[in-house]
Amino acid sequence: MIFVAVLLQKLLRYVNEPYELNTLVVTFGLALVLQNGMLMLFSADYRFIRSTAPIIELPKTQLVVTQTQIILILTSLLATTALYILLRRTFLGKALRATIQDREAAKLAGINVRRMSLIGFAIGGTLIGLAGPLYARTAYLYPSGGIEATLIAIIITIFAGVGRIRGILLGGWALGIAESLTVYSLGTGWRELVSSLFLISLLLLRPEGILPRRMGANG
Amino acid sequence: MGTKTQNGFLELRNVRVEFDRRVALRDMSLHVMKQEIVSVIGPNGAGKTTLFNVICGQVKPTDGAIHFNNEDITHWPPHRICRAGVARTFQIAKPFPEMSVQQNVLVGLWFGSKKQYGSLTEQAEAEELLELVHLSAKSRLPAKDLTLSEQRRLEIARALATSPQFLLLDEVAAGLSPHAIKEMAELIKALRHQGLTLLLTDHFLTLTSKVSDRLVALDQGEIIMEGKPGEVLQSAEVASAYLGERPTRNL
Amino acid sequence: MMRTGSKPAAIYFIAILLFFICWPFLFQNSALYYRVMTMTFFYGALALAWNVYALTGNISLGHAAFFGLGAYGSALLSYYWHTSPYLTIPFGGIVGALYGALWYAVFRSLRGARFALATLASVEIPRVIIDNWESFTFGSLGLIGISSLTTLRFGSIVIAVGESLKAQYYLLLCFTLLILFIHWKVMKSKWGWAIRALREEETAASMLGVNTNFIHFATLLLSAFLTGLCGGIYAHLMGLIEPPLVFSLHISALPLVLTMFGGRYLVYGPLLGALILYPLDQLLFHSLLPVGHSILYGLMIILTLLFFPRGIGSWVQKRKTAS
Repeated sequence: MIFVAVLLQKLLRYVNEPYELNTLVVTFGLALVLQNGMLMLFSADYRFIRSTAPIIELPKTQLVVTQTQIILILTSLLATTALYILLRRTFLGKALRATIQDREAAKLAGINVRRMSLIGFAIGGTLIGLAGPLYARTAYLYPSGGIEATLIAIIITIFAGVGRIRGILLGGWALGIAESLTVYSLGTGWRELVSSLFLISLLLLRPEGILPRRMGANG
Repeated sequence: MGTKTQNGFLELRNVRVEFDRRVALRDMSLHVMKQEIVSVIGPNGAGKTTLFNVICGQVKPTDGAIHFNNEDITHWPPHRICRAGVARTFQIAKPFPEMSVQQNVLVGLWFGSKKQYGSLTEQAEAEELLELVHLSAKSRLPAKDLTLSEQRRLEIARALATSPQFLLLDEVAAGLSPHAIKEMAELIKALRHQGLTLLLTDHFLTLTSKVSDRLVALDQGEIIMEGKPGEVLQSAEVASAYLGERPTRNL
Repeated sequence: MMRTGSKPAAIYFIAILLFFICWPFLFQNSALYYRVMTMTFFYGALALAWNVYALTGNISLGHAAFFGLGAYGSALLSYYWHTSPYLTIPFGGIVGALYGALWYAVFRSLRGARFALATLASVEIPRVIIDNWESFTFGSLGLIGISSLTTLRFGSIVIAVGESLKAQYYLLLCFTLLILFIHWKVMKSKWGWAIRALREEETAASMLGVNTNFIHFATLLLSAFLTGLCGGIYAHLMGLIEPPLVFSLHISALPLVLTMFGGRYLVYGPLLGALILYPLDQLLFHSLLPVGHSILYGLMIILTLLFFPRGIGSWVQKRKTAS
């Protein structure tokens, strides 16, 4: 995963302006390449990784949980906490945040912006690499399955306000809860509708992201 | 604090502007008479830019009314205010970067004034305006290639293209050489002779005192003093506002 | 632009147009070529329709909503009320435009990434509703057997559009020319300058007299209408539609890719993108790499954008006008 992330970063360095749009399209192209590469190598069948983990029943409620799900929850909590600590408490984290906020100023402050970019991608790659197998254990795998997850990730990032960890976490949970509740009460058919409405209303009501903007420090 | 309301060309009556929890303008009453040149001065954060924004419709007041030429423009959208005869420049210049300098001015002509799109004289008219601000030489260049002060001058030409009766100039002197500032003062006076009314804001107090009929000093969202340039600039209150000795207001 | 590059451009255009008109008479009866070129024109029109609003600077990732609604509006009208396709297609356009008006009402304050995201999300709403409303729309089973385009009769001339691939080819050529014309008019007119001013610097534009709200509204409505038209045509051309197909991300993303590839600020840009990429993919890449042909497609996109950030069209443009 890190390898792919580094490859992506090296590639994106050559993207000219307009940056965002061109990056979007170039990544689209790359996604096509990778997707179809996998298609050629692995064929288009849906695959499912069997899970033989035990099922645990929670004591007071009637909820049933698999061990996999618990591991999923714990791992993501752990990873997010680690990231949070990294970004907020370490010097590297400060440098990363500085680069995000103002690239030019960061350069002036002596931060090696290219390396930050690389590190950012690497960390992102690692986290996604972690998420992948975890996700894989609970869902079907197919070459174009990456799109759905990417979409969710983009969605959560943007509406949580780029760069605000607590917002992202809160956003992810809120979305997950909303979706699950929908599936629970209305069945799977309406899931995307509710998520979309949820997302749209959040974009409209809180354009800065979930958490209110405070004067001064952010994050 | 307000002044007695006369029927001004531009009038603000008890205008209040609030953002989130911050009050940018409080109970602002101001008038500008026809063909007057009034300058608004004050330290950073006093509310000068907000004042401009609220007059021109970029920001809507939380309370109060704004009248121009006896019409209530308080809730009008910017383009309508422009067509009514108000034009402004921006403190941070906003040229159309990819368009040429001339095209920037043409946009003003086409949409802000009553000139027809595609008329034979439009390019000549645009050039005339560029001549006024000494940008004719760069007429074909894309606006993003201009220096900051040139972009500021382009803003003036562009604003003038909309045939305004009232022009707001937001910190036009910034970044100009002393010679250029002198030329700017001449231009401002010439514009008044042509019938324009002007409202300026600037930190360069020499410029403002030279051209203005009246000075209005702002601090923390309200007018603290207004009158002839000489009086205002010598006032102790104004000086302390600039130097920061005035105690901060509770929000 | 008021440059005098229009003469050589017009000549190129007419030459290419003549080529497309006469070509079926030169290469007889090649069903594959008809199909490919028909769809090429189709996607070109779709890209042009999308770009009409993209010119304002707001990149929509949700045009599939208009497409799907146009397709379903058109197909359902045809299915239940047996209306002629030539009426259902404009109806599809209107349904698309209505949703566009809704977009404006709700998303008017959004820009940039937030706008893109909101439009992306908004595709799900009609899709899920149609998917679940099985009694009316047949839900996920899809709507099949949509009547094909009916035969046209002009006096003694009979054109069996539904059956003849050749007729479909010409019909779509005409349709795409129409959309190209509209796209041209939107770009090179006073309206076009208003859109450009809006795109480059919205605050300044509004202060110079450009009614930015109206421009957003009118342009979006037009774009939605045209995209809805495409949806309607698609329904009658294919004969079968289903929610994941007509509301897919692919339909939303393709115009973006084609336009960026061809040149987003050129009148013929989106169409050029379609003319190059689609036939290349269908004819060349398919035969080279039947399974993973999209890899070449993807590579092509990547390389072009790295070397021609403004699209191929900008390179073509530079070669024509020697500036």
